[in-house]
Amino acid sequence: MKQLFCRLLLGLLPLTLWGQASNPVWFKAPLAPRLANYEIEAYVTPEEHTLKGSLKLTWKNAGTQATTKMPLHLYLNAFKGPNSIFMREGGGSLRGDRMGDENDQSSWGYCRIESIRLEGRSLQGSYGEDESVYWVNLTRAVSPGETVTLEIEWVSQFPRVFARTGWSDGFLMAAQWFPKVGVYQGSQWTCDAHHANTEFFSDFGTYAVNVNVPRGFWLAHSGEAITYIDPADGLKKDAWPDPLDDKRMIYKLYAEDIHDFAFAMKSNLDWKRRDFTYRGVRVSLFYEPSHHLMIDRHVAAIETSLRLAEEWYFKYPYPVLTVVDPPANASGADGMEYPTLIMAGTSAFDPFNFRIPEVVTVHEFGHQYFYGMLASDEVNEPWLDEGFTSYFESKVMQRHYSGLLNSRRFQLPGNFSSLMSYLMTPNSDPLTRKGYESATYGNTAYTKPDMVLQQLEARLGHQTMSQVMMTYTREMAFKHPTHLDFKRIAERISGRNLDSFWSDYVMGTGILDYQIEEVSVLNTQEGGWDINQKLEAEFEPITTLMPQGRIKLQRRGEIVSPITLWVRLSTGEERKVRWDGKDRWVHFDFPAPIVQAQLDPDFEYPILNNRLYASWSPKAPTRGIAYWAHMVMSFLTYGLQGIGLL
Amino acid sequence: METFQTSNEYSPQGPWAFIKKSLIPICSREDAEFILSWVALTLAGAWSLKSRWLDLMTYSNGSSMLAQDWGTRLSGNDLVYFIKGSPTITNVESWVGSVFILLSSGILFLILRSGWRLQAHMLGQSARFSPWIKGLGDALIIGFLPTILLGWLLSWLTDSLRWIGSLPMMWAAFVWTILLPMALTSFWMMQWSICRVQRLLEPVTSYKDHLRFCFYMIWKNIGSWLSLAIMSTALRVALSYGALWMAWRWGAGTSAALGSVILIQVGVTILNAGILRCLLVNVVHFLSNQHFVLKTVEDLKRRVL
Repeated sequence: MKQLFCRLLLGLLPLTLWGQASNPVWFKAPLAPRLANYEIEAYVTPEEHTLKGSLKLTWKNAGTQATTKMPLHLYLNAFKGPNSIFMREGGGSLRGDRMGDENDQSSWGYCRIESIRLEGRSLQGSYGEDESVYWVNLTRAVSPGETVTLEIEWVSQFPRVFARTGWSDGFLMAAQWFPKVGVYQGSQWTCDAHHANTEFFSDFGTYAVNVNVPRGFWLAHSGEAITYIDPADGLKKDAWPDPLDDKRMIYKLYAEDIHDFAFAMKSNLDWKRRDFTYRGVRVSLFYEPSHHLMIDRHVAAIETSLRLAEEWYFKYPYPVLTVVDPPANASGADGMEYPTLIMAGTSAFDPFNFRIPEVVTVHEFGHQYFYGMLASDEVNEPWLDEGFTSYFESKVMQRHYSGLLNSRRFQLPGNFSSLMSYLMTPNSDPLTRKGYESATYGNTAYTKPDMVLQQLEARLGHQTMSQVMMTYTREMAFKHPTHLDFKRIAERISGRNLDSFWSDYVMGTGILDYQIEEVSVLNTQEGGWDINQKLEAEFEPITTLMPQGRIKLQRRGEIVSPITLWVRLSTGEERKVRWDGKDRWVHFDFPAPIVQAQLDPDFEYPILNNRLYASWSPKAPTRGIAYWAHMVMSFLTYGLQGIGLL
Repeated sequence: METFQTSNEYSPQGPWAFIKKSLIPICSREDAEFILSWVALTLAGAWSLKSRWLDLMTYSNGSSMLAQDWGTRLSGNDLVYFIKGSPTITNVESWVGSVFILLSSGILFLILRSGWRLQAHMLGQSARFSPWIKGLGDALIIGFLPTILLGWLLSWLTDSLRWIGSLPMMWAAFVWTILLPMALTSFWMMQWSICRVQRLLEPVTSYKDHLRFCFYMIWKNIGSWLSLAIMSTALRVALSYGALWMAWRWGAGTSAALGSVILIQVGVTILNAGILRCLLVNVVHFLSNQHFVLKTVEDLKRRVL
């Protein structure tokens, strides 16, 4: 009897603790204007791929005018059927991933609003551009500076994992899963439909999220889990017992100064976890058991990213970071970022040591800054998050890993993918083009901005660019920066007018393309009739002088920039001349024949379109070419011999 | 009363039984032609590639200096500049050049023809085109599908290794993934070889009997043929990757290093060609033995009856 009583007491203890659990405080003073604060109760039924939820949205009007409407993102409605804007634009494919069988209803998803209430009154509304945006008619105008609380009940049906969100076997990635308010600035709402290419834009706030799941599931999530000491075994636990159902448990999660919230869940029987702390950040890494060989690489990538981001920008301020390496059959969820949560991507085995897992992890971590804390509008200016993050990724890969591949004879530099993509479509859309309007989205959002920022760095110098980046990130953190904010800060720090740079590279579609067109030898002579002062004609024999060198340069692109030419003459003398680059053609003469020439020898223009014909020598460097020709041919011959061609 | 001694000579032998005999080098014209064709493919192919790439870099009585350090270090960015910069590069053909395609195709034909000449010469017959090309059709009919099925079975059995999570197992699975398709292609090549040699040895049987016999010759000794294919492929691949690894280590920082690389690669090409020659000869020995045994049995039957 005494034992039974003790057990009852022990059993009730967690419930008592549950009642006492309070949200932790991350920051003594808010880092961001907390305009959209959410308290969410979510009940997940994994076998049905559904989530039933209720939330309290406390929203503050930070605009300059009152509003009588409030738009909500219902992102999951992008997967409702083939007629959503998302599906029409993407055709069921995104980032190389394809949606599930379209005839299977479980491939599709939706977000269904059940009720919306304000101050006890039920609200109505209507869909916007498509069903991924719902405009709520408020019962009254909400004045600037006023705060209102909406109570919303909804049901989310997750699609088969595709385009960041959904389920796959026992894995669920809950992203864009709850009704989320748009951004009100001045007198204008920004709440775009869910487009195929573009991502998101939201206000900062606090999140208190209770997720009710069946026992045995692990949650990898944004924010921090509120833990308790289980009296039964004395262990610290983050999943609380559900007082109403002993087969379920509740994760009580909390976060401050973030603008989105996501979680992934999977059975703890076939999911691994590694926890570690680096520079005061508690990192939790969730991964597939078969991916265990890659985990040290992920850890190193996270530590490197945390260290370099702190060195270059500012210290990662949140106390937690969660990394998920999703299963192979949930590749639609990988390579994505959410505040304090990143989705990595890897394979079980990497025999050639390509730095792909590192690239993904570093890139997604970079988004903690360029999206997470510098919350730019990803729909209308996608380059501010993807491009800046690609720039961060290139620099990290070069500085810490010496490139994407660093073998004895062949290297892929950190900016290889950006350079390749940029050079293949150098005159792609202006960087400021809206994401969903751009025909060259991948180039315009990711790779061209990386090259443009490298070009800016070459223009301003490494030190100045470092200061620009540090100032930009610090001043615009926890705000909604635009490209004009970046330009303003870059001009202020560098003390230079960047109008022409902006018109050429950011707003323009032109290319920087100079090349050596011709190198020749001028055979000069002197002599002939000479009329002296006495007007007497005197014939001097024709003599040949020392030959001169001439080089003809061409500007092939639209962008005009001064460029340096280096030459070595047959006398051994080296010279550098600066061309203003304005004319289409120009030639320079030198006192002796040219034996070597190079345009842009100091690499002032990483973005230069043609480096093949930016150098010249009378003799071809054959040895290296012969080496690679033999390597390629031997590989082919050995392949044919390998298959036993008889 | 006559008695027959049971000896190896009068019993059908598997393909491994003739390996030793096949290894004996015969310096016939056909042997030399077969091996030199392979060497020609390596050298002429590399020469034409080199010429093409030099062409693409050439301009204004000179050349780009982009490839200046390629003998020691090649950057992916250089390749992008090369591919992007050259105005003529629009597809693979323009990248490798029509000379390379024509030359390589011609030498490949020469390799196949010299292999066939070698086999025909062993049988004292002329290397007619008809059995060679018809043998190819035979091998496609009786060998293609079974080889695919065999490959599917073998890869299915070994694919699970990949997911065990142990590094040696993953390496083993990776090597097997490369080796298996090569070995199976080699296995099918032997089927083709059997079909064409059989057409020379016994050209008058019905087509159905011919196919049945050729199929039977491989599948009766499936373990031996498969192990021969896998082991000889493994040997060729090991030699090849060894040469490539050495070339990778040495680079071409000096002309001597480049010369050594070429010598090693030619040497391995000759060794591999020697192994392939051995397989060609082995098929002839194997089929000759089969025919000898069958003929002896037929004679015996005739004498008994």
